[in-house]
Amino acid sequence: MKRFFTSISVQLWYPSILLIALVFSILFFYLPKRQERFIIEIQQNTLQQLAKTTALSIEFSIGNDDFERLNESVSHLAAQSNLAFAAVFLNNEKGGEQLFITYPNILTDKQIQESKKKLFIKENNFSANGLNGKIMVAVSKRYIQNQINEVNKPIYLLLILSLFVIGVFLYIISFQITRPIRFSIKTIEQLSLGNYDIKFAIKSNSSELNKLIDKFKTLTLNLVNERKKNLELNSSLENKVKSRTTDLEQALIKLEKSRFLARTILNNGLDAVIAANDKVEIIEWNKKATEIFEYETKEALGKKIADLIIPIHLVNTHNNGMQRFIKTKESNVFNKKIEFEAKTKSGKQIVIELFVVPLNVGNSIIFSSIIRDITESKMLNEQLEKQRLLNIKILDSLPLNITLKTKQGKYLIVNNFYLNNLNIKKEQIIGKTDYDLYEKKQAEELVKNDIEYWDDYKNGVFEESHFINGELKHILGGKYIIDIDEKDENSKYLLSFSFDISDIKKIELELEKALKAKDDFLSVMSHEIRTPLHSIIGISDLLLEKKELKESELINSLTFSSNQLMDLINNILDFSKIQSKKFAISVFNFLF
Amino acid sequence: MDFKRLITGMFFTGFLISLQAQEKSNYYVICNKQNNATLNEKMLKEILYGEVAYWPSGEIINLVLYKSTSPESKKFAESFFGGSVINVQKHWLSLVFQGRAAQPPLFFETTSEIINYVETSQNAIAVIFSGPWDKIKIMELEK
Repeated sequence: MKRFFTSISVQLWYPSILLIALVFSILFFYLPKRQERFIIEIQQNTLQQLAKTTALSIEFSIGNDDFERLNESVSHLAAQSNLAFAAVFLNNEKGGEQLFITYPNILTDKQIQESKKKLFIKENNFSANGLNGKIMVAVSKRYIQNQINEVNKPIYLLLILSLFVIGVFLYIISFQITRPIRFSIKTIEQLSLGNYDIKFAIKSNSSELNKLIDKFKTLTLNLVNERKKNLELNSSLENKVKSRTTDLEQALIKLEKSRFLARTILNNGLDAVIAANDKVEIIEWNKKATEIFEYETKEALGKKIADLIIPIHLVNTHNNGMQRFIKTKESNVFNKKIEFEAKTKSGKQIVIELFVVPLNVGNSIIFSSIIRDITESKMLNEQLEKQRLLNIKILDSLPLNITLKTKQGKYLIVNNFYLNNLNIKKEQIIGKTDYDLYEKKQAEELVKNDIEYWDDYKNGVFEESHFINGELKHILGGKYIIDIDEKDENSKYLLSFSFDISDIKKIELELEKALKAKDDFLSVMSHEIRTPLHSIIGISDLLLEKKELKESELINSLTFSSNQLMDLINNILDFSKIQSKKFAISVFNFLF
Repeated sequence: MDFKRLITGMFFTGFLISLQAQEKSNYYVICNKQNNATLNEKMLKEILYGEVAYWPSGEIINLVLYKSTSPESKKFAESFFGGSVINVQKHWLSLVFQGRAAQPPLFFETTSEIINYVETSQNAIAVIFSGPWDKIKIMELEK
């Protein structure tokens, strides 16, 4: 409301409207009414005077027998242009009034009574020479109204003129002051809304307002220029924002992919991942955690770690450790691998390998745990350890010198037999090379020997004879390249073994002698036994052709026995041939 | 219009009554000696009633009557207006009031005043009941 009244338009228009109202009231209501009252009053006075004058004229004319005076009065009546009528009523004997004569037209009493409403009427009595009556003079209200209108015409004209002048004044005020101000306000509003496409068609005769409009033009031009700069800047910024947004979107996509990947990895990883907040409540639980601890993710989330996976006998230790860390930020278990006993949903005791990292996220701490179920691997390791120990024992118990070297020539495995032969301890040889253990020449020879195997990756058995401590020793050995991973050169090893076969060699020599004796025997047997047998068989065949049945039977028996003996000898000889590698194999086709 | 006829009728009735009065009292119609106009009874009545205001020559008629206070006025009224003086005044009141009287009559108290006036006024006409007759001319009424 206060703003409304402080508006310049209102301050200009409000007095103007009041002035218009005042002028209108004065010129349209007050003055015309006053004029009307004045005219009516004059008319009525005139009328009354006229009636009175006429009555006096009648009295005079009748009383003095001089109608000239009446004639003058009538002339005076006739001069009244607004006269509706003049009537003379005479008193009759009954005390009533009777219309006597009217002027200028002859009217009846009824007509007079009917026309009274439309007329101003004045009466005046007269009395002369016994002639009593009254004079009635009437003028038309319409005529008076016309007269009033005629009189008021200048006032109305003045009213119109005044309104016109005030209108012109207001128009000038509006055009020169209000309109430019309103235009200025609208212009500022448009400018504030960012619409700089403004046409300055308005002009004022006021130098101040023209100056103001000029300033507005300048301001608008400046704003337009600034707007162009801002648009360019905005465009540049928008491009940058778009670029950043695109980068950000791509980064978000990457991040989302990464998160998805991380979650996928987490869920499909070999390790369980459990995260807990500073109240040790679980906030992350992946699939592997479910596999290990048998709790579904929705079961685990929000639960205390101690309630789910910590065995009862370790709960207090766990809780104390967590409280100590929260207070002192010190712990013996974080940021390193530890083995830990844990329990599953079904109550199974398992062994886990745990790596807990406390992460500061804002004002809180999140404990990220990577857990691996090492129950089986631990068992496997134990078995492997047992197996290893068994292997070592086996190796140690073998009467063989067994060594395993890396490609760099370092001893990786040696057995006790070998250590005993060299009379050194295992610690003295493991990780050492031949250069560390032997004299250079001997070492070079050994290394050279090894390199032959390494170069060709050949495997083979060798037999060597050496004089050791003045005694000829026969050594049987073998070297094999053990290739655990073809792609990894470091996973290739040279396995060497050797043992003393001097005793075997002795036995072998004895066996060779025995074999020679056998061969000799067989030669003799072939020559000395088979030849007579051929003779016996041949003679037996000849006898069979000539003898009788009874004799033949005996001879057949003899032949059969001889053949049996011959087959036996041939077979023995064949084996001998085979053994002496003299057995020839004939190749030919045959049919069954 | 009917009212006009009524008034005319009334005048005509008065005229008949006056004729009867003329028979009762002798009256004389006088004019200026130089006036050569002739009248009949009807024309006289018309002049007395103000219905004729001009002489045949075109001059305006100056009608001269007795004042109501004059004793002769009664005779005149009896001769021409039914015997009531007030009727004469009312008649002329109505004529003058309506503007129908071109020249209102002049009233004199005595016959001599009337004769004197008629003597001096060439267009005057009056009805008197006694002389002297030397200063004026008695108009003979044609039948």
